[in-house]
Amino acid sequence: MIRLLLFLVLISNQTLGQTADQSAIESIKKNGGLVLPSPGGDNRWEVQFQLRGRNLNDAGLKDVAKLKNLIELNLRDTKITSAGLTHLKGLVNLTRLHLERTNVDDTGIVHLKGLTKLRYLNLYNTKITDKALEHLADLKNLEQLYVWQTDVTTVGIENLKKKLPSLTIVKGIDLSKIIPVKKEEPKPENDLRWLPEGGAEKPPEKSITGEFTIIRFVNKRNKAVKLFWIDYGGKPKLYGIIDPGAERRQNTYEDAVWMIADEQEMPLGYFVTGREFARAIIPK
Amino acid sequence: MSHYESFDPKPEAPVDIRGEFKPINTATPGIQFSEHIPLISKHSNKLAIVRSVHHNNGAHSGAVYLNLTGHQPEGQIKAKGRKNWPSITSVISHFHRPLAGIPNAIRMPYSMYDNGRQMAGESAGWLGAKYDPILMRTPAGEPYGGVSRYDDPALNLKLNLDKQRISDRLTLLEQLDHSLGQRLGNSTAYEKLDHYRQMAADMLLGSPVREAYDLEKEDHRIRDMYGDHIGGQSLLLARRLVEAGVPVVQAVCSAGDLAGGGGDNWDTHRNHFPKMKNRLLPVFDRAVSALLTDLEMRGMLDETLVVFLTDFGRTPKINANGGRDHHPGVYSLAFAGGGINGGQVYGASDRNGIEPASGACTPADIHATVFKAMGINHNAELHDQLDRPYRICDGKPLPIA
Repeated sequence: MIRLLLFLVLISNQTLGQTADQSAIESIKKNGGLVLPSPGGDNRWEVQFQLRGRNLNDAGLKDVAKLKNLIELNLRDTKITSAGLTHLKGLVNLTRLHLERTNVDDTGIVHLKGLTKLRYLNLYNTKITDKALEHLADLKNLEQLYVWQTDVTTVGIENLKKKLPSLTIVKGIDLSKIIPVKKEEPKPENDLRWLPEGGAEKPPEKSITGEFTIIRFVNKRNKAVKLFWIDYGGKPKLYGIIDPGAERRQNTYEDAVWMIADEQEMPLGYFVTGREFARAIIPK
Repeated sequence: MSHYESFDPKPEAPVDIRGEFKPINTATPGIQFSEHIPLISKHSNKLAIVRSVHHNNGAHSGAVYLNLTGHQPEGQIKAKGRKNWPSITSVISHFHRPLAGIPNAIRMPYSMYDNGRQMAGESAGWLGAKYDPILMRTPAGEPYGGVSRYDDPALNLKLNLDKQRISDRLTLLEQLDHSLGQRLGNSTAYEKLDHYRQMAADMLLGSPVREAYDLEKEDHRIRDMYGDHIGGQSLLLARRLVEAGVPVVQAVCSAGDLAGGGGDNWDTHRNHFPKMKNRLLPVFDRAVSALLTDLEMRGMLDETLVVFLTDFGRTPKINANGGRDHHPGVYSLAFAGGGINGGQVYGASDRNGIEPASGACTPADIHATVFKAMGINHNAELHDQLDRPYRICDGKPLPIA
């Protein structure tokens, strides 16, 4: 009898816990949140809003706060603000929290002070400053902190590192220091020979592949021309139209055959590429 | 990709083997890379390099299949064969399902071809069409040099149709389906079509994937960081797709066609050193280091597993054309991110880079390592379309996590 009673109590407790969670989960899902079981035991949850729940606002966080055993929470790109973070205070089991790309500022970070199990906190592209980092000094389990694209300074980072020496703080790079790849456009070294359609010298029937090269086509005609590559099987493949007087830069390989045709696709002549970067002048 | 000119330089080897490039120090004491990946070498603390992978398949088609599926090709394999083993991308997406409207897996920017023949190993094989990765063209970046012969159908999300028009058309389609469906019953081909159409519609109408595809929305300085090349922009798009909830993305850092050593790709049978130095490694170096920087500063690296695969290494002896030929005897791969301890080298090749000297492992072991890092039991069974069970992997995870 006792055994049975105990059994019943167990069942009802679990049922109650599940019911509380289930109603919270329903509300989270209505807001576009994704609820996943988190490994390591029953009723441990991971909640993600960053994919379909970006319209989540501070009010919606109330439902999230009901999942007491929430382990991971992703609020990236949502509409939450610092005021909403007050709802997270009770989520003491959180180990990973994504707040990046939200309007959260220093005043919101105060509410995270008691989340001592936090190991991962992402605050990149938020409005935080060094002040926010001061609020994190008691999070002894914090291993990773992300502050790229914020007003956090190296001074603030050094101060926090003194209190949490094993914490990795990722400040990221300064985007203004990125230097685009400088493309050195090779100068054409010679002009390819023009082989007119019906002329004495015939072009090869098809392209053969070789080393990479670049050809600059120059249309000296007073009409547009169509540019065809003669493929490895001998079939013409349209690559584009070159307007009168226009130029076209074309990646190709050596031993490729390029056909120039008029707008009605009647062949006018051919070029055969070599290994060097070259010009291909389409005559008047 | 040549192990000598990337992750496993051999300065002690004779000159006709070690080649023209010198080793450089990385950010990790005791680990050296080849000199023309200076940017990646600064990220060595994030990388686990495996220098002892080997297999016995010296043809691109077989080696690509082996590295992408983790299984030896049996008999004649065809690119779209439903008897093929599924690509690792398909298997992962089976265990990590995306939200509705997000593809299981995406691959880009080209299918891989070997001298005119599309290679097997990139599709879902016996897992069924539902798990085929979607081929996506990268919307920006300078094309790979030369002409690509192939133009297989790829998803293009750059359509300028407005949502209302798409919705209207879909409603019309649904009405047609209703009558058509009644007549055709549930034929497999029809279901397959329906699956793709639903997914395409979801994506066009407002999936995060569509937004991710628009590289114009990315900070132009970030785009510069990756490099204005399809290789770089592919990895940037890969990051955006992962952010948008795509479970697995495959990016091929080469032109679509392996044109027999003359093409602008890693099959460097001729002029190996100038090609590697001037055209191939700079793109790889810039794109990969940008990806690692980007993932790290967004806090994504420990949630994202990055794996570098290749078909095989290149021969020790430099041939008469200044090239290196196919060498599956030993080669190097790299891991970074989720569940991997960086700053380490697993295994070693011998003094001349000919075969493994320690920690010999196979593509199947690499796959087991990936599965373990992704929280997937590498001994799990999956069933084909006829419900026959297959154990997904024959390898053992490497102790690099």
